[in-house]
Amino acid sequence: MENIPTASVVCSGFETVAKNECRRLGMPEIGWVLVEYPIAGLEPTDIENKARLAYSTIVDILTKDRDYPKALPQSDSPGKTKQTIRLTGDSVNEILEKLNASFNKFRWSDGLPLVPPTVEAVNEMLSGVSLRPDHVVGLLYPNQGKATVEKIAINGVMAGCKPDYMPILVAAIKAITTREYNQETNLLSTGGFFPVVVVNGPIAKKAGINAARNVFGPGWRANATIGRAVRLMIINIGESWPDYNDMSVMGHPGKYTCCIAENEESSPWPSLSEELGYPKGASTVTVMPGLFMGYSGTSGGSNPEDVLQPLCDQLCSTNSTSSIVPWAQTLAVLNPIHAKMLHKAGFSKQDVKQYIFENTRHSIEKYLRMVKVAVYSPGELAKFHKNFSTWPGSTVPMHGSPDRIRVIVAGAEGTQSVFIRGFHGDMVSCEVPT
Amino acid sequence: MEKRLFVDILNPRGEVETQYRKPAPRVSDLKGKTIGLIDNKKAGGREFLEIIKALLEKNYLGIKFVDLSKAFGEKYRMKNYIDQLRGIEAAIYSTGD
Repeated sequence: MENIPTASVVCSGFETVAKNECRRLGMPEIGWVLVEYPIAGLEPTDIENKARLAYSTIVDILTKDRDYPKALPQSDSPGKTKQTIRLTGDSVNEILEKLNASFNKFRWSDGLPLVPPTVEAVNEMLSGVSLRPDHVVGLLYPNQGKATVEKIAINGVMAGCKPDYMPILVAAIKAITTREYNQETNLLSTGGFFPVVVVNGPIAKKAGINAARNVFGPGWRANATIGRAVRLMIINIGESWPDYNDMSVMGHPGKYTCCIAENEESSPWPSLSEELGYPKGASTVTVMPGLFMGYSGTSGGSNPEDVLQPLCDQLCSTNSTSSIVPWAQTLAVLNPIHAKMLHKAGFSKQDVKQYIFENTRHSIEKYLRMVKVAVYSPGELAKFHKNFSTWPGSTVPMHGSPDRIRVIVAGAEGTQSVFIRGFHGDMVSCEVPT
Repeated sequence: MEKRLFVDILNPRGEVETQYRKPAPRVSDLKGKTIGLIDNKKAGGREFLEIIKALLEKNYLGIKFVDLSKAFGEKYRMKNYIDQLRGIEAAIYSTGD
Protein backbone atom coordinates (compact mmCIF):
# COMPACT_ATOMS: atom_id res chain seq x y z
CA MET A 1 0.00 0.00 0.00
CA GLU A 2 1.27 3.43 -0.88
CA ASN A 3 2.59 5.76 1.82
CA ILE A 4 2.45 3.19 4.60
CA PRO A 5 5.85 2.71 6.28
CA THR A 6 6.50 -1.01 6.29
CA ALA A 7 9.06 -3.23 8.00
CA SER A 8 9.55 -6.45 6.05
CA VAL A 9 10.99 -9.53 7.67
CA VAL A 10 13.39 -11.23 5.27
CA CYS A 11 15.03 -14.57 5.90
CA SER A 12 18.73 -15.01 5.26
CA GLY A 13 19.24 -16.46 1.81
CA PHE A 14 16.53 -14.21 0.40
CA GLU A 15 18.35 -10.87 0.73
CA THR A 16 19.15 -10.78 -2.97
CA VAL A 17 15.46 -11.28 -3.74
CA ALA A 18 14.63 -8.42 -1.37
CA LYS A 19 17.25 -6.14 -2.98
CA ASN A 20 15.99 -7.04 -6.43
CA GLU A 21 12.40 -6.30 -5.45
CA CYS A 22 13.46 -2.91 -4.13
CA ARG A 23 15.24 -2.20 -7.40
CA ARG A 24 12.24 -3.40 -9.41
CA LEU A 25 9.90 -1.15 -7.46
CA GLY A 26 12.26 1.83 -7.60
CA MET A 27 12.66 1.86 -3.84
CA PRO A 28 15.85 2.46 -1.89
CA GLU A 29 17.04 -0.61 -0.01
CA ILE A 30 15.34 0.06 3.29
CA GLY A 31 12.57 -1.41 5.25
CA TRP A 32 13.67 -4.90 5.95
CA VAL A 33 15.02 -6.78 8.93
CA LEU A 34 17.12 -9.86 8.31
CA VAL A 35 16.24 -12.97 10.28
CA GLU A 36 18.18 -16.20 10.21
CA TYR A 37 16.53 -18.88 8.06
CA PRO A 38 14.32 -20.78 8.71
CA ILE A 39 11.23 -19.62 10.49
CA ALA A 40 9.21 -22.77 9.77
CA GLY A 41 9.60 -25.96 11.73
CA LEU A 42 11.01 -24.32 14.84
CA GLU A 43 10.06 -24.74 18.46
CA PRO A 44 8.00 -21.80 19.78
CA THR A 45 10.91 -20.62 21.94
CA ASP A 46 13.19 -20.47 18.89
CA ILE A 47 10.66 -18.37 16.97
CA GLU A 48 10.33 -16.15 20.03
CA ASN A 49 14.10 -15.66 20.21
CA LYS A 50 14.26 -14.65 16.56
CA ALA A 51 11.34 -12.25 17.01
CA ARG A 52 12.94 -10.64 20.08
CA LEU A 53 16.21 -10.18 18.18
CA ALA A 54 14.36 -8.51 15.31
CA TYR A 55 12.07 -6.32 17.44
CA SER A 56 14.18 -3.18 17.88
CA THR A 57 15.13 -3.11 14.18
CA ILE A 58 11.46 -3.35 13.23
CA VAL A 59 10.62 -0.41 15.48
CA ASP A 60 13.53 1.61 14.06
CA ILE A 61 12.43 0.97 10.49
CA LEU A 62 8.92 2.19 11.27
CA THR A 63 9.84 5.25 13.32
CA LYS A 64 13.28 6.59 12.41
CA ASP A 65 13.93 8.82 9.44
CA ARG A 66 17.17 8.33 7.62
CA ASP A 67 19.00 9.70 4.60
CA TYR A 68 17.57 7.83 1.68
CA PRO A 69 19.32 7.66 -1.67
CA LYS A 70 17.72 10.16 -4.00
CA ALA A 71 18.23 8.10 -7.17
CA LEU A 72 17.21 4.69 -8.40
CA PRO A 73 19.32 1.69 -7.43
CA GLN A 74 21.40 0.72 -10.45
CA SER A 75 21.16 -2.63 -12.11
CA ASP A 76 24.13 -4.85 -11.46
CA SER A 77 23.90 -6.41 -14.91
CA PRO A 78 26.92 -5.19 -16.89
CA GLY A 79 26.53 -3.94 -20.42
CA LYS A 80 22.83 -3.68 -19.94
CA THR A 81 22.34 -0.44 -21.75
CA LYS A 82 24.49 -1.23 -24.77
CA GLN A 83 22.55 -1.98 -27.90
CA THR A 84 25.38 -3.92 -29.58
CA ILE A 85 28.37 -5.68 -28.16
CA ARG A 86 31.50 -6.25 -30.21
CA LEU A 87 33.36 -9.51 -29.75
CA THR A 88 36.84 -9.83 -31.26
CA GLY A 89 39.21 -12.74 -31.70
CA ASP A 90 41.80 -14.44 -33.86
CA SER A 91 39.37 -17.18 -34.81
CA VAL A 92 35.67 -17.98 -34.92
CA ASN A 93 36.22 -20.42 -32.07
CA GLU A 94 37.77 -17.73 -29.91
CA ILE A 95 34.83 -15.40 -30.56
CA LEU A 96 32.31 -18.13 -29.71
CA GLU A 97 34.20 -18.91 -26.51
CA LYS A 98 34.16 -15.24 -25.55
CA LEU A 99 30.44 -15.02 -26.25
CA ASN A 100 29.64 -17.98 -24.04
CA ALA A 101 32.10 -17.10 -21.29
CA SER A 102 30.91 -13.50 -21.02
CA PHE A 103 27.19 -14.28 -21.29
CA ASN A 104 27.53 -16.92 -18.59
CA LYS A 105 29.42 -14.48 -16.40
CA PHE A 106 26.76 -11.79 -16.90
CA ARG A 107 23.94 -14.28 -16.16
CA TRP A 108 22.62 -13.91 -19.71
CA SER A 109 22.69 -17.61 -20.56
CA ASP A 110 21.06 -20.91 -19.61
CA GLY A 111 24.47 -22.58 -19.44
CA LEU A 112 24.30 -24.22 -22.87
CA PRO A 113 26.33 -22.90 -25.84
CA LEU A 114 24.64 -19.94 -27.49
CA VAL A 115 24.19 -18.93 -31.11
CA PRO A 116 25.57 -15.39 -31.63
CA PRO A 117 22.68 -12.95 -32.11
CA THR A 118 24.28 -11.00 -34.96
CA VAL A 119 22.41 -8.17 -36.63
CA GLU A 120 22.03 -10.31 -39.75
CA ALA A 121 20.66 -13.31 -37.85
CA VAL A 122 18.23 -11.18 -35.86
CA ASN A 123 16.96 -9.42 -38.99
CA GLU A 124 16.34 -12.80 -40.54
CA MET A 125 14.49 -13.93 -37.44
CA LEU A 126 12.36 -10.77 -37.52
CA SER A 127 11.23 -11.69 -41.04
CA GLY A 128 9.22 -14.50 -39.43
CA VAL A 129 6.53 -12.05 -38.25
CA SER A 130 5.13 -8.85 -39.69
CA LEU A 131 5.16 -7.00 -36.35
CA ARG A 132 7.31 -3.92 -35.74
CA PRO A 133 10.53 -4.72 -33.89
CA ASP A 134 9.75 -2.18 -31.17
CA HIS A 135 6.24 -3.55 -30.54
CA VAL A 136 5.99 -4.59 -26.90
CA VAL A 137 4.37 -8.02 -26.62
CA GLY A 138 4.32 -7.98 -22.83
CA LEU A 139 6.31 -7.32 -19.66
CA LEU A 140 8.26 -10.30 -18.33
CA TYR A 141 8.78 -10.87 -14.65
CA PRO A 142 10.54 -10.77 -12.32
CA ASN A 143 11.73 -7.31 -13.34
CA GLN A 144 8.98 -6.50 -15.83
CA GLY A 145 11.38 -6.15 -18.72
CA LYS A 146 9.84 -5.17 -22.05
CA ALA A 147 9.53 -8.17 -24.34
CA THR A 148 9.70 -6.35 -27.66
CA VAL A 149 9.53 -8.29 -30.90
CA GLU A 150 13.23 -7.49 -31.42
CA LYS A 151 14.27 -8.82 -27.99
CA ILE A 152 12.20 -11.95 -28.65
CA ALA A 153 14.06 -12.38 -31.94
CA ILE A 154 17.47 -11.86 -30.30
CA ASN A 155 16.81 -14.52 -27.69
CA GLY A 156 15.27 -16.76 -30.34
CA VAL A 157 18.50 -16.59 -32.36
CA MET A 158 20.55 -17.34 -29.24
CA ALA A 159 18.44 -20.43 -28.60
CA GLY A 160 18.91 -21.68 -32.15
CA CYS A 161 15.40 -20.92 -33.44
CA LYS A 162 14.47 -20.44 -37.09
CA PRO A 163 12.39 -17.50 -38.41
CA ASP A 164 9.39 -19.86 -38.84
CA TYR A 165 9.26 -20.17 -35.04
CA MET A 166 8.88 -16.42 -34.42
CA PRO A 167 5.04 -16.39 -34.39
CA ILE A 168 5.14 -19.20 -31.81
CA LEU A 169 7.62 -17.31 -29.61
CA VAL A 170 5.53 -14.14 -29.76
CA ALA A 171 2.34 -16.02 -28.87
CA ALA A 172 4.11 -17.86 -26.02
CA ILE A 173 5.33 -14.61 -24.47
CA LYS A 174 1.92 -13.04 -24.93
CA ALA A 175 0.41 -15.98 -23.01
CA ILE A 176 3.02 -15.88 -20.24
CA THR A 177 2.57 -12.15 -19.67
CA THR A 178 -1.19 -12.39 -19.08
CA ARG A 179 -2.64 -11.90 -15.63
CA GLU A 180 -4.05 -15.42 -15.66
CA TYR A 181 -0.66 -17.07 -16.15
CA ASN A 182 0.49 -15.41 -12.91
CA GLN A 183 4.17 -15.33 -13.87
CA GLU A 184 5.03 -13.12 -10.88
CA THR A 185 4.35 -16.09 -8.59
CA ASN A 186 5.45 -19.13 -10.57
CA LEU A 187 8.65 -17.60 -11.95
CA LEU A 188 9.94 -16.71 -8.46
CA SER A 189 8.59 -19.67 -6.51
CA THR A 190 10.63 -22.17 -4.50
CA GLY A 191 8.90 -24.81 -6.62
CA GLY A 192 10.54 -25.88 -9.87
CA PHE A 193 8.01 -24.32 -12.26
CA PHE A 194 8.61 -24.66 -15.98
CA PRO A 195 6.53 -23.21 -18.85
CA VAL A 196 4.93 -26.07 -20.81
CA VAL A 197 4.38 -24.89 -24.38
CA VAL A 198 1.79 -26.77 -26.47
CA VAL A 199 1.37 -25.80 -30.11
CA ASN A 200 -1.72 -26.53 -32.21
CA GLY A 201 -2.64 -26.00 -35.83
CA PRO A 202 -0.78 -25.63 -39.11
CA ILE A 203 2.05 -23.63 -37.52
CA ALA A 204 3.16 -26.77 -35.67
CA LYS A 205 3.74 -28.63 -38.90
CA LYS A 206 5.32 -25.62 -40.59
CA ALA A 207 7.79 -25.25 -37.73
CA GLY A 208 8.46 -29.00 -37.63
CA ILE A 209 7.44 -29.48 -33.99
CA ASN A 210 7.40 -33.12 -32.95
CA ALA A 211 4.08 -34.45 -31.66
CA ALA A 212 4.79 -38.16 -31.84
CA ARG A 213 7.42 -40.54 -30.46
CA ASN A 214 9.69 -39.06 -27.77
CA VAL A 215 7.54 -35.96 -27.80
CA PHE A 216 9.05 -34.63 -24.55
CA GLY A 217 12.54 -35.81 -25.49
CA PRO A 218 15.42 -34.62 -27.68
CA GLY A 219 15.84 -34.77 -31.42
CA TRP A 220 13.76 -31.97 -32.93
CA ARG A 221 15.19 -28.49 -33.38
CA ALA A 222 11.81 -26.79 -32.96
CA ASN A 223 10.91 -28.56 -29.71
CA ALA A 224 14.39 -28.00 -28.29
CA THR A 225 14.85 -24.37 -29.25
CA ILE A 226 11.37 -22.88 -28.83
CA GLY A 227 11.22 -23.95 -25.19
CA ARG A 228 14.82 -22.86 -24.75
CA ALA A 229 14.09 -19.43 -26.22
CA VAL A 230 11.23 -18.98 -23.74
CA ARG A 231 13.64 -19.68 -20.86
CA LEU A 232 16.30 -17.34 -22.29
CA MET A 233 13.68 -14.59 -22.48
CA ILE A 234 12.71 -15.17 -18.86
CA ILE A 235 16.43 -14.91 -17.98
CA ASN A 236 17.32 -11.96 -20.17
CA ILE A 237 14.17 -9.88 -20.47
CA GLY A 238 12.64 -10.82 -17.13
CA GLU A 239 16.09 -10.88 -15.47
CA SER A 240 15.41 -14.14 -13.67
CA TRP A 241 18.35 -15.95 -12.10
CA PRO A 242 18.80 -18.63 -9.40
CA ASP A 243 19.30 -17.15 -5.93
CA TYR A 244 18.80 -13.69 -7.36
CA ASN A 245 15.05 -13.94 -7.71
CA ASP A 246 14.38 -17.47 -8.99
CA MET A 247 14.25 -19.25 -5.65
CA SER A 248 13.46 -22.71 -6.93
CA VAL A 249 14.90 -25.19 -4.44
CA MET A 250 15.51 -28.07 -6.88
CA GLY A 251 14.77 -26.61 -10.32
CA HIS A 252 13.49 -28.91 -13.06
CA PRO A 253 14.87 -30.15 -16.41
CA GLY A 254 11.79 -28.61 -18.01
CA LYS A 255 13.26 -25.20 -17.18
CA TYR A 256 15.73 -25.77 -20.03
CA THR A 257 12.98 -26.47 -22.55
CA CYS A 258 9.50 -27.93 -22.75
CA CYS A 259 7.69 -27.54 -26.06
CA ILE A 260 5.50 -30.03 -27.89
CA ALA A 261 2.76 -30.10 -30.49
CA GLU A 262 -0.52 -31.92 -30.01
CA ASN A 263 -0.74 -35.01 -32.22
CA GLU A 264 -3.93 -33.81 -33.89
CA GLU A 265 -3.74 -36.32 -36.74
CA SER A 266 -3.84 -39.23 -34.32
CA SER A 267 -6.46 -37.77 -32.02
CA PRO A 268 -10.10 -38.94 -32.22
CA TRP A 269 -11.23 -35.76 -30.47
CA PRO A 270 -11.26 -32.01 -31.09
CA SER A 271 -7.86 -30.44 -30.44
CA LEU A 272 -6.93 -28.43 -27.35
CA SER A 273 -7.21 -25.34 -29.50
CA GLU A 274 -10.82 -26.14 -30.50
CA GLU A 275 -11.66 -27.09 -26.92
CA LEU A 276 -10.50 -23.63 -25.87
CA GLY A 277 -12.83 -21.97 -28.37
CA TYR A 278 -10.60 -21.36 -31.37
CA PRO A 279 -11.92 -22.24 -34.83
CA LYS A 280 -10.84 -25.55 -36.35
CA GLY A 281 -7.55 -25.07 -38.13
CA ALA A 282 -6.40 -22.10 -36.04
CA SER A 283 -2.77 -22.01 -34.98
CA THR A 284 -2.43 -21.46 -31.26
CA VAL A 285 0.13 -21.64 -28.49
CA THR A 286 -0.95 -22.73 -25.00
CA VAL A 287 1.40 -22.24 -22.07
CA MET A 288 0.95 -23.79 -18.63
CA PRO A 289 3.04 -23.27 -15.48
CA GLY A 290 4.03 -26.89 -14.94
CA LEU A 291 5.26 -28.06 -11.56
CA PHE A 292 5.77 -31.78 -11.99
CA MET A 293 5.20 -34.55 -14.46
CA GLY A 294 4.28 -38.17 -13.94
CA TYR A 295 3.99 -41.29 -16.04
CA SER A 296 1.36 -43.93 -16.00
CA GLY A 297 1.64 -47.19 -17.86
CA THR A 298 -0.83 -49.93 -18.65
CA SER A 299 0.00 -53.54 -19.20
CA GLY A 300 -2.94 -54.14 -21.46
CA GLY A 301 -6.70 -54.23 -21.13
CA SER A 302 -9.30 -52.61 -23.29
CA ASN A 303 -11.50 -50.87 -20.73
CA PRO A 304 -11.38 -47.15 -20.03
CA GLU A 305 -10.45 -47.95 -16.43
CA ASP A 306 -7.37 -49.83 -17.64
CA VAL A 307 -6.12 -46.60 -19.24
CA LEU A 308 -7.34 -43.93 -16.88
CA GLN A 309 -7.17 -45.49 -13.43
CA PRO A 310 -3.36 -45.89 -13.41
CA LEU A 311 -3.09 -42.22 -14.42
CA CYS A 312 -5.48 -41.20 -11.63
CA ASP A 313 -3.65 -43.36 -9.09
CA GLN A 314 -0.34 -41.81 -10.10
CA LEU A 315 -1.77 -38.29 -9.83
CA CYS A 316 -3.17 -39.03 -6.38
CA SER A 317 0.13 -40.40 -5.17
CA THR A 318 1.67 -36.93 -5.39
CA ASN A 319 2.14 -34.97 -2.21
CA SER A 320 2.51 -31.22 -2.42
CA THR A 321 0.42 -28.10 -1.98
CA SER A 322 -0.54 -28.34 -5.64
CA SER A 323 -2.05 -31.77 -4.98
CA ILE A 324 -4.74 -30.30 -2.76
CA VAL A 325 -5.56 -26.82 -4.01
CA PRO A 326 -8.67 -27.23 -6.14
CA TRP A 327 -7.79 -24.50 -8.65
CA ALA A 328 -4.54 -26.19 -9.74
CA GLN A 329 -4.75 -27.69 -13.23
CA THR A 330 -3.79 -31.01 -14.74
CA LEU A 331 -2.79 -31.59 -18.34
CA ALA A 332 -3.35 -35.24 -19.26
CA VAL A 333 -1.25 -36.24 -22.28
CA LEU A 334 -2.66 -39.46 -23.68
CA ASN A 335 -0.83 -41.46 -26.30
CA PRO A 336 -2.83 -42.20 -29.51
CA ILE A 337 -3.59 -45.83 -28.59
CA HIS A 338 -5.02 -44.81 -25.23
CA ALA A 339 -7.05 -42.07 -26.86
CA LYS A 340 -8.47 -44.40 -29.53
CA MET A 341 -9.29 -47.02 -26.93
CA LEU A 342 -11.23 -44.48 -24.88
CA HIS A 343 -12.97 -43.08 -27.94
CA LYS A 344 -13.98 -46.58 -29.05
CA ALA A 345 -15.48 -47.13 -25.59
CA GLY A 346 -17.63 -44.04 -26.18
CA PHE A 347 -15.55 -41.55 -24.19
CA SER A 348 -15.44 -37.95 -25.31
CA LYS A 349 -12.75 -35.61 -23.97
CA GLN A 350 -15.30 -34.35 -21.47
CA ASP A 351 -15.91 -37.94 -20.30
CA VAL A 352 -12.17 -38.39 -19.80
CA LYS A 353 -12.05 -35.20 -17.74
CA GLN A 354 -15.04 -36.31 -15.69
CA TYR A 355 -13.43 -39.68 -15.01
CA ILE A 356 -10.18 -38.10 -13.87
CA PHE A 357 -12.10 -35.61 -11.71
CA GLU A 358 -14.10 -38.37 -9.99
CA ASN A 359 -11.16 -40.69 -9.50
CA THR A 360 -8.52 -38.29 -8.21
CA ARG A 361 -9.60 -37.93 -4.63
CA HIS A 362 -7.60 -37.96 -1.41
CA SER A 363 -8.74 -39.70 1.74
CA ILE A 364 -9.62 -37.14 4.39
CA GLU A 365 -6.75 -38.40 6.56
CA LYS A 366 -4.21 -37.80 3.80
CA TYR A 367 -5.82 -34.46 2.91
CA LEU A 368 -5.66 -33.13 6.47
CA ARG A 369 -2.06 -34.32 6.75
CA MET A 370 -1.08 -32.51 3.53
CA VAL A 371 -3.00 -29.37 4.46
CA LYS A 372 -0.93 -29.09 7.62
CA VAL A 373 2.20 -28.39 5.60
CA ALA A 374 0.43 -26.33 2.95
CA VAL A 375 -0.29 -22.64 3.29
CA TYR A 376 -4.06 -22.91 3.29
CA SER A 377 -6.36 -23.97 6.06
CA PRO A 378 -8.85 -26.83 5.52
CA GLY A 379 -11.68 -24.35 6.07
CA GLU A 380 -10.38 -22.11 3.33
CA LEU A 381 -10.08 -24.88 0.76
CA ALA A 382 -13.42 -26.37 1.83
CA LYS A 383 -15.17 -23.36 0.29
CA PHE A 384 -14.16 -24.68 -3.13
CA HIS A 385 -15.67 -28.13 -2.62
CA LYS A 386 -19.30 -29.11 -2.49
CA ASN A 387 -20.25 -31.38 0.40
CA PHE A 388 -16.85 -31.10 2.07
CA SER A 389 -16.72 -33.37 5.09
CA THR A 390 -14.06 -34.40 7.58
CA TRP A 391 -15.86 -37.57 8.65
CA PRO A 392 -13.62 -40.67 8.57
CA GLY A 393 -14.01 -42.36 5.21
CA SER A 394 -14.65 -39.07 3.37
CA THR A 395 -12.64 -38.13 0.32
CA VAL A 396 -11.74 -34.76 -1.18
CA PRO A 397 -11.25 -34.22 -4.92
CA MET A 398 -7.91 -32.93 -6.19
CA HIS A 399 -9.64 -30.76 -8.77
CA GLY A 400 -12.25 -28.09 -8.17
CA SER A 401 -14.14 -29.27 -11.28
CA PRO A 402 -13.54 -31.35 -14.43
CA ASP A 403 -12.73 -28.08 -16.23
CA ARG A 404 -9.48 -27.81 -14.28
CA ILE A 405 -8.33 -30.78 -16.35
CA ARG A 406 -7.26 -30.55 -19.97
CA VAL A 407 -6.61 -33.51 -22.24
CA ILE A 408 -4.39 -33.68 -25.31
CA VAL A 409 -3.11 -36.49 -27.48
CA ALA A 410 0.63 -36.70 -28.08
CA GLY A 411 3.45 -39.20 -28.21
CA ALA A 412 3.65 -42.49 -30.04
CA GLU A 413 1.28 -45.43 -29.88
CA GLY A 414 2.23 -47.35 -26.78
CA THR A 415 1.35 -48.16 -23.22
CA GLN A 416 2.42 -44.93 -21.48
CA SER A 417 0.59 -41.69 -20.95
CA VAL A 418 1.66 -38.70 -18.94
CA PHE A 419 0.20 -35.98 -16.76
CA ILE A 420 1.60 -32.57 -15.91
CA ARG A 421 0.38 -30.88 -12.78
CA GLY A 422 0.28 -27.11 -12.83
CA PHE A 423 -0.09 -24.54 -10.09
CA HIS A 424 0.33 -20.84 -9.33
CA GLY A 425 -1.30 -19.81 -12.56
CA ASP A 426 -3.59 -20.99 -15.32
CA MET A 427 -3.05 -22.48 -18.74
CA VAL A 428 -3.32 -19.60 -21.23
CA SER A 429 -3.72 -19.77 -25.01
CA CYS A 430 -2.98 -17.22 -27.68
CA GLU A 431 -3.43 -17.32 -31.42
CA VAL A 432 -0.18 -16.97 -33.31
CA PRO A 433 0.31 -13.68 -35.14
CA THR A 434 0.95 -13.63 -38.87
CA MET B 1 49.10 -10.12 -32.78
CA GLU B 2 46.37 -7.83 -34.03
CA LYS B 3 42.86 -9.23 -33.70
CA ARG B 4 41.48 -9.77 -37.19
CA LEU B 5 37.95 -10.99 -36.63
CA PHE B 6 35.04 -9.31 -34.96
CA VAL B 7 31.32 -9.91 -34.58
CA ASP B 8 28.72 -7.38 -33.46
CA ILE B 9 25.93 -8.98 -31.51
CA LEU B 10 22.72 -7.50 -30.20
CA ASN B 11 22.00 -7.18 -26.51
CA PRO B 12 19.42 -9.74 -25.39
CA ARG B 13 18.54 -7.92 -22.17
CA GLY B 14 15.17 -6.24 -21.88
CA GLU B 15 14.59 -2.61 -21.05
CA VAL B 16 13.21 -2.16 -17.58
CA GLU B 17 11.51 1.11 -16.75
CA THR B 18 11.31 2.01 -13.12
CA GLN B 19 10.39 5.25 -11.46
CA TYR B 20 12.00 6.31 -8.24
CA ARG B 21 9.65 6.03 -5.30
CA LYS B 22 10.30 8.04 -2.20
CA PRO B 23 9.85 5.95 0.94
CA ALA B 24 6.76 6.71 2.97
CA PRO B 25 7.28 9.08 5.92
CA ARG B 26 7.92 7.27 9.17
CA VAL B 27 5.49 7.39 12.08
CA SER B 28 6.95 9.50 14.88
CA ASP B 29 5.63 7.28 17.65
CA LEU B 30 3.81 3.96 17.74
CA LYS B 31 1.60 4.96 20.69
CA GLY B 32 -2.05 4.79 19.71
CA LYS B 33 -1.25 3.78 16.13
CA THR B 34 -2.90 1.04 14.08
CA ILE B 35 -0.38 -1.45 12.72
CA GLY B 36 -1.05 -3.99 9.98
CA LEU B 37 0.51 -7.38 10.75
CA ILE B 38 0.68 -9.29 7.49
CA ASP B 39 2.04 -12.75 6.90
CA ASN B 40 2.20 -14.93 3.80
CA LYS B 41 0.52 -17.94 5.41
CA LYS B 42 3.70 -19.95 5.41
CA ALA B 43 4.67 -21.80 8.57
CA GLY B 44 6.10 -19.69 11.38
CA GLY B 45 5.25 -16.28 9.95
CA ARG B 46 2.14 -15.66 12.03
CA GLU B 47 3.77 -17.00 15.20
CA PHE B 48 6.66 -14.57 14.65
CA LEU B 49 4.25 -11.66 14.32
CA GLU B 50 2.34 -12.63 17.47
CA ILE B 51 5.57 -12.26 19.49
CA ILE B 52 6.20 -8.84 17.92
CA LYS B 53 2.59 -7.88 18.68
CA ALA B 54 3.00 -8.80 22.34
CA LEU B 55 6.20 -6.77 22.62
CA LEU B 56 4.62 -3.74 20.94
CA GLU B 57 1.56 -3.91 23.19
CA LYS B 58 3.82 -3.95 26.23
CA ASN B 59 5.80 -0.92 25.09
CA TYR B 60 3.28 1.30 23.31
CA LEU B 61 0.08 2.41 25.00
CA GLY B 62 -3.07 2.23 22.91
CA ILE B 63 -1.44 0.50 19.93
CA LYS B 64 -3.91 -1.41 17.79
CA PHE B 65 -3.51 -4.12 15.17
CA VAL B 66 -5.10 -5.41 11.98
CA ASP B 67 -4.11 -8.99 11.24
CA LEU B 68 -4.02 -10.29 7.71
CA SER B 69 -2.80 -13.61 6.35
CA LYS B 70 -2.30 -13.40 2.62
CA ALA B 71 -1.10 -16.33 0.56
CA PHE B 72 1.05 -15.96 -2.52
CA GLY B 73 -0.79 -15.92 -5.81
CA GLU B 74 -4.07 -14.72 -4.31
CA LYS B 75 -4.37 -11.79 -6.65
CA TYR B 76 -8.08 -12.39 -6.97
CA ARG B 77 -8.45 -11.33 -3.35
CA MET B 78 -6.24 -8.26 -3.53
CA LYS B 79 -9.11 -5.77 -3.36
CA ASN B 80 -10.41 -7.49 -0.21
CA TYR B 81 -6.97 -7.35 1.36
CA ILE B 82 -6.55 -3.68 0.59
CA ASP B 83 -10.01 -2.97 2.04
CA GLN B 84 -9.09 -4.87 5.20
CA LEU B 85 -5.94 -2.82 5.61
CA ARG B 86 -7.52 0.60 5.20
CA GLY B 87 -6.78 2.77 8.19
CA ILE B 88 -3.45 1.23 9.14
CA GLU B 89 -0.65 3.68 9.79
CA ALA B 90 2.29 1.29 9.52
CA ALA B 91 2.81 -2.36 8.63
CA ILE B 92 5.00 -5.31 9.45
CA TYR B 93 5.21 -8.03 6.80
CA SER B 94 6.54 -11.42 7.75
CA THR B 95 7.34 -14.20 5.33
CA GLY B 96 7.40 -17.60 6.97
CA ASP B 97 8.98 -20.77 5.57
